[in-house]
Amino acid sequence: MANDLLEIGRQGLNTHRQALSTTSNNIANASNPNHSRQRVVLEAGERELSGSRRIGGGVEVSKIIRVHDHFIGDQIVGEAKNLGSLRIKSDTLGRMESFLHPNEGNIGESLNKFFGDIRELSVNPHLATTSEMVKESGAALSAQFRGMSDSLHGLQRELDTRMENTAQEVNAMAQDLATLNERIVRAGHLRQEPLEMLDRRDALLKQLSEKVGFDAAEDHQGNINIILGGAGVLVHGSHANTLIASPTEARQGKAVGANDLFLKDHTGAHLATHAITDGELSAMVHMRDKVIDPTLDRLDHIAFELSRNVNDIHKQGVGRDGVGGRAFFKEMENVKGAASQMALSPEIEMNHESIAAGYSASPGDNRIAVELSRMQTQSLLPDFNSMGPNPELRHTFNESINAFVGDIGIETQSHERNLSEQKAMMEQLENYRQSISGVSMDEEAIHMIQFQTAFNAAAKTVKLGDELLQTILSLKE
Amino acid sequence: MARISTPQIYHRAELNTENAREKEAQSSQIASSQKKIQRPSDDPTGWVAAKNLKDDIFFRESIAKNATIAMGTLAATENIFARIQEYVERAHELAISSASSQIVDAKTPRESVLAEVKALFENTRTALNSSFNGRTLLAGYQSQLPAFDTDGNFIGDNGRIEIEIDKGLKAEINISTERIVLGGNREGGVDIPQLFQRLIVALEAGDRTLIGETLEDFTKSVDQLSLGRARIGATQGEIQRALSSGSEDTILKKDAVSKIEDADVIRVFSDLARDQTVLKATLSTTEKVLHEVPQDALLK
Repeated sequence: MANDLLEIGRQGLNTHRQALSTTSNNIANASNPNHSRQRVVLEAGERELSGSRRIGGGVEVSKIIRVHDHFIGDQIVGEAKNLGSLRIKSDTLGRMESFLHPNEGNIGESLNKFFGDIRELSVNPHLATTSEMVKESGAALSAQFRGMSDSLHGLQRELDTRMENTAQEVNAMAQDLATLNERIVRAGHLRQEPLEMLDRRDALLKQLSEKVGFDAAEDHQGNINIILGGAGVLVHGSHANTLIASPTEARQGKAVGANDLFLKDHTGAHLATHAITDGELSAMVHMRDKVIDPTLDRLDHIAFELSRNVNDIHKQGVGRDGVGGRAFFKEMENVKGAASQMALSPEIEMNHESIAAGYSASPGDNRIAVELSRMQTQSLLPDFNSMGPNPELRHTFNESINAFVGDIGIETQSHERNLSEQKAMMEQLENYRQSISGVSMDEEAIHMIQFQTAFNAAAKTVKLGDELLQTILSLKE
Repeated sequence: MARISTPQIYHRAELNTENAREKEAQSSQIASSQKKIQRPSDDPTGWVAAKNLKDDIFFRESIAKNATIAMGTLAATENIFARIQEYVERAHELAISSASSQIVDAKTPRESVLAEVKALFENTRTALNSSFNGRTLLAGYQSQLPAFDTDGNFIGDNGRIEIEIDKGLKAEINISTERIVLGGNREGGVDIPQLFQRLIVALEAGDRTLIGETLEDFTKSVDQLSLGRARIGATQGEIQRALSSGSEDTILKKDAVSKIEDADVIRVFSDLARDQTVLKATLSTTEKVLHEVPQDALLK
C-alpha cells in the first residue's frame, strides 16, 4: 500500500511537472504570434489488484496537443496570397500616381505653360523674349515626358529586381519547408509530437502564400507538398525545387530583358511566369506587363501625337533667320518609346530664332503661333482605352493627360480599397485563430495555480507514503 | 462567448491606436490644406473634372491677357485714325479756302497755308508710323519698320494680324492700311498721304483747279477713316463680348472647382476635433487595458 502511494505520488509529481512545463512554455510563447497553445491531455492510470477491486493507478500525460483549427489555418493561407498580391498592386499604383501627379510641376501644368507661351508669342511675335520662352517651355515639357517615362521604366526594373529577391525568398522558404517536412515525418516515426515544428510550418505556409500562390496537399506521412499551379511542384516531401527569375527575350506583352519566372527541377527549367497566378510574384508580373506597359504606351501615344501635330504646323512656318521647314520637336518615327525620346529639335535647341512664329520671316507675322496656340483647344487626340486608340472619339491634349492620370487614380483607389478590405478579412481570420490558438495569460496563470496545487498534493502523497513505509519498517524494531 | 487570448488584447490595442492616429493624421492634413482631394485617387472623377475646369480657367486667363493687349492695340489704332481725321478735316478746310482766288493770288496767305498743309502731312505721316507694344501698328507684318516713308509712300505690307480671343475664335487686331489709308485699290478709294502731296503740289503751283480737285477726295478720306474707326469699334465689341463671356465662365468654373476640391471648413475642424478626441480616448483606454492585466494579480 505504501508502495502504491509512492507510485501514485511519483506519477502525480511527474504528470503535473509536465503540465507545469507545458504551461510555462505557453507563457513564454505568449507573444509569439505563430505559437498555438498547447494542452496536456491527462489520463487516469489503471491498476488491477487481487480480487475484484480496481484501484486507480494515478494519472499520466496521455499526450500534449496543440489547440489549432485546420480550417482557419487553411483559410488564412488561402487569403494570404490575395493580400500579398494586393499589397504589391496597391503600392505600385501609388508610386505610379505620385510620378504622374507630383505635388509640384506635373505634366498638365507644363503643357499649359507651353501653350500659354505660344499664345504670348502670337501676340508679340517680334519680341525675342517670347520665342525664348517658348523654347524653354518646350524643353521643360519634353523633359517632363522623358522624366515620366524614365520613372515608369525605372519602376518596371525595380519590379524585376524585386522578383529576383522574392524568388530567392521563396526558395529559402521552400527549403525550410522541405526540412520541416523531413523532421516532422521523422518525429512521427519516433512517436513524438512535433508541435513547435507544426506551428513553424503553418507560419511558413502563410508567408510563402503571400509570396506565391500555391496548392498544398498533405500526404499520409504528414508531408505538405507545394504545387505552383500548372508550373510544377515546388516542394515534395523533403525535396525543394528552385524558382528562378531570369531576363528573357521580348514576347507578346513583355519587353526584352524583363524577367520571366522558371521552376527548375531534375528535368530542367520550365517557364512558370503565367502559371503563377497569385501572391506577390504574380502581382509584380501583372503590374510590370499589364499596367505599367500600357501606361507607357498611352504616354508614348500622347507624346507622339503632340510632337507630330506641333511639327506639322511649325514646318509650314519660317524662323526669324529666314529658314523654314523645321520641326519644333525632334522627329520620331515610332509611337513606341516616343515619351522617352521627346526633345526639341537640334535647330530649335541651339537657337530660339529658329522658331517659326509666322509663315514668313516678317517680325509681325504671327500666323503659325496662332495656329499652334489653337491646338490646345482642338480635339486632336484619339480616345485611348484597353483596346488601343479609338479615332471615333477625340479629346484635347489636356483632357487626354487628365483622363490618363485619372484612370491611374481610379485603379489606385480601387486597389487601396480592396487591400483595406483584404487586410480587414485577414485581421478577422487572425483574430479568430488567436481566439482559438492564442495563449491567454489569465488561463495559464490559473492553470499554473491548478497544476502547482496538484503537484504539492502529489508531493504530500509521496511524503505520506514515505511515513507509512517508515512506520511499517519501525514495527520490526 | 468568444475567448480572448493575450496576443489579441495587445494586437487590438495596437490596431485601435494605429487607426485612431491614421484618422487624426488624415483630418489634420485636410485641415491644413483645406482640400478634400490631395491626390487623384482620393476622388478620381472629381479630380479629373476639377483639372479639366482648371485647364479651361487657365486658357481663359491666358486669352484675357492677350485680349487686353489686343484692345490696347485697337484703341491706339483708333486714336491714330482720330488724329488723322482731324488733320484731314483741317487740310480740307484749307483746301476749300485756298480754292478761292483771294487766297491763291495773295502770296503771303498762300505760303502760310502751304506751310500748314505740309505740317499737317508730317503729322499725318508721324501718326501713320505710330507704334504700340513695340510694333508699328499700320505696317502689317513689317512691324519693326515705319509704315510710310518721308514721301508718304507705303512701305509696309498687308499682313493681317489675328489673335485668338476664344475657343475657335480669332479677331483681327490690325486694320487694313491698304483699305483705310490707301483706298484699297477700289474705285472711289483715296490714298490719304498722296492726297496731302497732291494738295501741296497744287498749292506750290498756285493752281486753283488742282486744289479744287482734291476737295471731294478729302471728303471721301473722312468717310474712309470713319469706316476704319467703325471697324475698330466692331472688333473691340467682339473682343469685349468674348472677354465678358469668358469672365463669367471663369467665375462659374472657379466656383465649380471650389465645390469639388475645397473642404467645408466647419466640417473639417469638427472632424479634426472629433478624431483628436477619439485618439485621446483610445490612448487612455489602451493604457488602462495594458496596465490592468488580471494575471499580474494571479501570478504574484
